[in-house]
Parts: sequence; C-alpha cells; structure tokens
Amino acid sequence: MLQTVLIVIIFASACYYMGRLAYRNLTSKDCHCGSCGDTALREDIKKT
Amino acid sequence: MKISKVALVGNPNSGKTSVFNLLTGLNQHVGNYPGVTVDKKVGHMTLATDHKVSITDLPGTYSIYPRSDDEQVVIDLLNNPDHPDYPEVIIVVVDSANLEHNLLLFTQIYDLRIPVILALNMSDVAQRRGVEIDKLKLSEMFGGINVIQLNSRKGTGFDDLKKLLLDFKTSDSFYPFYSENSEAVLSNLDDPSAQILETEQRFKKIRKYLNFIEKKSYTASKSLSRKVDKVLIHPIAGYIIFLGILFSIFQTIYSVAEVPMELIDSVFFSSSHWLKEHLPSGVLTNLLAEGIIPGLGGVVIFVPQIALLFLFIVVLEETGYMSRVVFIMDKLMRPFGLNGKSVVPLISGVACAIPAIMATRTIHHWKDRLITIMVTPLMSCSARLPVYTLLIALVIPDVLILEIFNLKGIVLLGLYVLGLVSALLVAGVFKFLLKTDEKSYLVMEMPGYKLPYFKNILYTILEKSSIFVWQAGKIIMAISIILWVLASYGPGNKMEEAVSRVELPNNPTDQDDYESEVNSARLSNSWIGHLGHVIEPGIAPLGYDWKIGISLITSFAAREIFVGSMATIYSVEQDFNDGSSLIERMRSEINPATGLPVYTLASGISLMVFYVFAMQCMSTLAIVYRETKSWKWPFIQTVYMTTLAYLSALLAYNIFN
Repeated sequence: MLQTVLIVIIFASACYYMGRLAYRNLTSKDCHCGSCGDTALREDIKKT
Repeated sequence: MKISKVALVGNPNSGKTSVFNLLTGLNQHVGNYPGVTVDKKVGHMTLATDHKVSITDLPGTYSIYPRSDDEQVVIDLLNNPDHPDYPEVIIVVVDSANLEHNLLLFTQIYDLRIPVILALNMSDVAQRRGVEIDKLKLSEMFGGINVIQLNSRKGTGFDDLKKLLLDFKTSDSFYPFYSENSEAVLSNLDDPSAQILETEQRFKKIRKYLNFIEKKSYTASKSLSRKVDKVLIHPIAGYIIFLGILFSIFQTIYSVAEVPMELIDSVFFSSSHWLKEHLPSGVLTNLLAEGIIPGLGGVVIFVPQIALLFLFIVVLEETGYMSRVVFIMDKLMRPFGLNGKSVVPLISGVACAIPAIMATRTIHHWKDRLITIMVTPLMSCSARLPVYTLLIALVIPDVLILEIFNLKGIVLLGLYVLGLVSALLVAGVFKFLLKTDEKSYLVMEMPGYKLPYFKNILYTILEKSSIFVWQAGKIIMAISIILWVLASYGPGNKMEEAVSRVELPNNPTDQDDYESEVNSARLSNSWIGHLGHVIEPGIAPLGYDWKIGISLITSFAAREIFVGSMATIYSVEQDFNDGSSLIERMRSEINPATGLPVYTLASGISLMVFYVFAMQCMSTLAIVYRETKSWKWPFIQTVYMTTLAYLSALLAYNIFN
C-alpha cells in the first residue's frame, strides 16, 4: 500500500514537472529548457 | 582603488572568451540581459583572500555604434552608470596581430571616460606574423594607460593582469581621439551617416598613430597562412576538403566512441540487475530498475559521441577553419535566398538549434532573418545524434566500403547532408513565398590559423556534455517515470485478462517464451499500450509500430528522449534474466500483424528520415516564438516540418520496402 502511494506521488511529481516545463516554454518570453545553459536566468526565476 | 566589477570588451575573434575562461575558470554562468535576448556571461575571480572581482564578458563588437541587439547591449551598459553591471574598470581585449581594426573599439571605449586596461592578446600570433608593438609608446599616447601583453593560449601575462587589477591606478585624462563629432554621435546614436564619418576620422588617426607604435615585417607564417587559404577556400577544392573533413569526423565518431559506449551500457545494465537482485522486490524496485535506470542509460551512453562531436566543432573553430567554412558556404547559400549572415546560425545549428536561432539577431533584414529561423531546425543538431546512432546500429549492416570506410559512418554523414540540402531548398521556397529581394553581404574578418587552445576545448566539451546529461537527464527521468507507470498499469482488469489468455507451456524449456509472451501481453494492454494502439493506424504506413509511436510523442519534448523512451518501454517488456541489449531486443521485435521484424532497413531509414525533418523540440518552438514574437511562425514551422517528415518517411519506407 505504502509503495503504491509512493508511486502515485512520484508519478504525479513527474507529470507536474513535465507540465510546468511545457507551460513555461510555451507561455514565457524566456527560454527555460536550459539547453543554452541559462542557469543565471533560472536562478533569477527562483528568487522572484 | 579597490575594484569589484570589471567588464571584458573586444572585437569578435580577439580571443576575449579565452581570456574570460582563463580569468574565471569554471566560476562562470550564462544569463540574459533584461528585455533583450542576448547572453550575459558573468564570472568571478579571486585577486586576494578578501578581494573577489566579478567579470562580465560583454558580447563581441567591432564598434560601440550598435548594429544589432548584441552591440546595443554593450553601449547601453557602458552609457549607464546606474546599470547594476556598470564596470569600474574595462579590460579591452585586442588582437595584437590586427591592431588597426581593434583599436577603433578601444579608442571609442576609452573616450567614454571609464578606466581601461588595454590587453594586447594573441601576442604569439602577432610575433609569428612579424608584428612588433611598442607597449610604452602606446601607453603614452593615451595618457599612460595600463597596457598589458597576453597570450591566452599559453596563459602568460595573466598574473600581471591580476596584479594590475589588485592595485589599479587610473591614467591621466588625455583623449587624443575625442572630438566634437564624437560627442555629437554619442548623444544621437540613430544617425548612421554621422557615425560613418566619425569612424573614418578615427581610422585615419589610428593609421597615423600606428606608424609610431607598430612595426610590421613579412613573415613565413603569413605567407604559409595565405598559401593554406588558397586551397581551403578554393571554389572547388574548398568544398571537397570540407566534405572530406565531415566524412572523417563521422567515421571517427563511430570508431572511437564504440568502446566507451559499450562500457557505459554494461555499467547501466549491471546496475539495473544489481538493484533488482539486492533491493526488496516491489513496484519501487521495478520503477528504478526497469524505468529510470534504463531510461537514463539510454542517454548517458551517447555522451562519448556528443563529446567527440563537440571536440571536432571546437577544434575547427579554434584553428580558424570554421571561418573558412562560413566563407565558402556563403557562396553556396546565396542562390537559395539565404543571407550571407545566415551561414553562422545554420552551421551552429549542427550543435543546437536554440543558440543558432538566437544568433540570427545579427541579420539586419527581417525577412532574411525569418527564413533563417524557419530553416535552422532542419540542420541535424546534436540531439538527433543518439537517435541516428541507435537506428543506424539497428538496421545498417556493419560493412566496410573499399575496405576502409564504415558504411554506418557514411549513412550518418548522409543524414547530416540531407538536413543541410533540405534547409537550402526550403529556404528557396520561403524566399519565393515571402518575396524577399533584399540584398545583403557577408563581411567578416578572416582570423589567422592557430593551434587550438587545450583548456578551451576541455571547457567546451565539459560544458556541452554536462548540459546534455543534466538538462536532458531531468526530462528523461520524468518521462521514464511516466512511461513506466503507464506501461505497468492498465485500465480495469484488461492486463490480467490478456495474461490469462496466454497458454501455459507444456514443456519447462518453453518457460522463457511463456514469460516473454506474458510481458508482451501485459504491455500491450497497459495504458500506454492502449494509447499506442490508438495512434498506430496513423503511423503504420511509415512502417512503425505503436511503441515507436509512443516514443515519437514523448520525444516532442526533446529528440534524444526517443532513445530513453524506447529503453524504458523495452525494459518493462523484457524478461529480466535475458541479458540482451536494447538494440538486440529491438532487432528481435516482431510485428504480430505481419509476423515480420518491425525494424527492417525500410522502417529504420524511414524513421531516420522522419527525425531529419520533424520539429521534435519543444524548446526550439519556444525560442522561435520568443524571436518572432508571434505564435504564427512556430505554428507554420511545426506544420511544414511535420508534413515534410511524414511524407519523406512514407516515401523512404516505400522505396526501401
């Protein structure tokens, strides 16, 4: 039972992560993929 | 004067980035300037135990009179003392072998009245070309400014530079290049004719001054460089040599990367096996051993190839050969409506379409820029390499052509050439549709040939490989989890019902076959199996089964996820005692409808062709939206690329079937 709950949490987190990534990429004017190494930008986002 | 903020300014190709890397090491990060899409590189350097300096590497520019967003950033920052990155000292990095052109920017920066250090970089190249610079006279001409000689390839002169920064002294206020014209131009940056006039006046003065500070003698090195150029940029030999270099690169990628790839594969496989044996059995162990580890392994295995690709790219850049490639490609691209300035973004697209599309900002005409943005994703980027490699290993026989050349390497080169040719043809179509007849010329400085700088190569390979692993790795981990859950559970009792329909073996020796059939039945009736069967009719004409369909969908996030997704799907289905690799499992896959192998030469080539053309990259779409400021162009790009991919894959399948 505990393992099933954990799997549900992990699955939900993975879905949330992918959904957030897609949403940010498709709605923001800034790049969030990280392919260009814009770590500073992501740090700024965290701060704000 | 204790300084804490320094800016690095210099012409493109002045070795500014090498100086920045040597001063900051790995203590650097890349960001964006607010409001514009220009990279902002900031690093830190320790001068003394209690004295740290932040260094901003400003975009390379020939002048402070802006012609592009990159150049605008430089003047916006240097003209605004309230800017958070406004420097206390500017290090102007100049190419000692090309002082006349480089001093233009220096005199302009100097006239802004910000304390400067003039760094005469590439002193070794200047020496080889017989250029001698009188440092003392140069300093005196600008009121005793700090002039320092650097050799970023050997790393000499950097200790002196740090000492200068530690105990920085300003020079006398003496501005020999500043005139009323300069003041007028700086106060109104929108008057190009006044800028041209002022620039010409500066150049006249610079030439006069150079008679006193620079001595030039004709050297064997310069002569050799010219002789080499005669061959490398020859109208016919130039292209043959370039193709030969590309050919050698792809042959090497295949032959050298094989051993480390096999090693990584065995490490991930053993890890999966070890976890399954030593962790308590249960769904969490299954998720780890069947989902996450194989998914990540499917990506990490390609690090040697990605590292090799970037090794070659950076060596070609560092030696100065890439500039020759840009020069010869300019002629090739013009008939297809591509601007001379489109060459750099298109060639950068071989590494990654995102910075390549950002590099189109240097293209002045909007329609030319738009065409370049629209076709750049057709260039085969490094994310396609894992997909190509997997499919080539799967369907292309391991044979030698003329007993030397590996057929697999030839096919890989063919895929890259197909990307380039299609980019040119599509650009021609866009040129016709957008009715662009604007003429523009590529003006570029041909840097001298030089030996590559080892540290730069190392930094680039480390940076690119770690971005590939960490950024793609995070997405692959999330998708592996999602895929594993969707492949391990199904709607209602359908999975159990499907398993009960599998006949029990009569003979104990058939036990393995039975388990394999059970796993297939479970997967086929899982959530992902149902979804796959829904999309299967749409992709069946291309020779794909539902598992490929699922991986096509997940790889829309990023192309390399295709491999991770296949690894996860096949791992869920695999009998864990079976030690076969992903390629072996895929090779033995049989289409239940036809009874024939799924991965044939026809379906493999069809899939490779699909990936050459398909817009399978969410991040590229986001960048196109950001650069065009409209959803119209990313939409058009996705539609035309997907249609092209589908039709070409269909054609390829029918030709080879």
